[in-house]
Amino acid sequence: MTFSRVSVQTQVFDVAERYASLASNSSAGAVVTFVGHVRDMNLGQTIQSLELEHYPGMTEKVLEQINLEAIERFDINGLDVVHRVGVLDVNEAIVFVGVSSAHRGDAFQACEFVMDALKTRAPFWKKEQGSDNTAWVSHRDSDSQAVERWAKK
Amino acid sequence: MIQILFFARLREQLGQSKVQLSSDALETPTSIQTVLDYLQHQNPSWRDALSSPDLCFAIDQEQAQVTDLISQNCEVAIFPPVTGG
Repeated sequence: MTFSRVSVQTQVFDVAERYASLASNSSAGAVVTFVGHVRDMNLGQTIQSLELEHYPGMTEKVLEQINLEAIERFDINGLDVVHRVGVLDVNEAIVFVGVSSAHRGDAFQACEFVMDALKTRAPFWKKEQGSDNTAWVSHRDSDSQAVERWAKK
Repeated sequence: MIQILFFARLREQLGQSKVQLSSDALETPTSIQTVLDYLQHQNPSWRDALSSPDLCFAIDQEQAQVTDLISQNCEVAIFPPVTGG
């Protein structure tokens, strides 16, 4: 039985605790973790903070669905996804995806699959507070292209 | 009654996060497109925001297309493309 967990929260998450939980499975020969952070620059503008809005209810459902798809697609035994909402300062962690698997190949791939799917399907929206204005972040075509590579297989 | 939720940029453009359409406002089943047309007719100042070609939709918290049908007691969400991660 594959371990699957999703969390949408305002609080800071503890990467070490989440890693330890994934690594505690004795059949986990590989643990891959990804942590996304708030950058200080976006499209040439200095960023001071970020506000993340989401659609409570749908967000959790979409994240759980993406986890199920990853579990079906890759040979993995643990998957843990955390996404923060609310106001985040520069350099704070926004998102965590951790995967444990018997071998590294599936763990790396599942981690990328979950991030690509999350960026194009999970209902989160970022608003940037810059030095002189606030602006909603636009969707990037590169994110849509990134998710397409998984459709070809 | 149909509950319609707006998020992010669209929520700010419209100045509200939700509207409720009573059962006599629109005959159901109806499409999301019909709801968009109805809202624009009722609120002419919403026309530009609600005709933006990049809008995305959900019915009862599942991703949907503008031609998909909704019935009474549905929760419909309208929002710009997502930008999480």
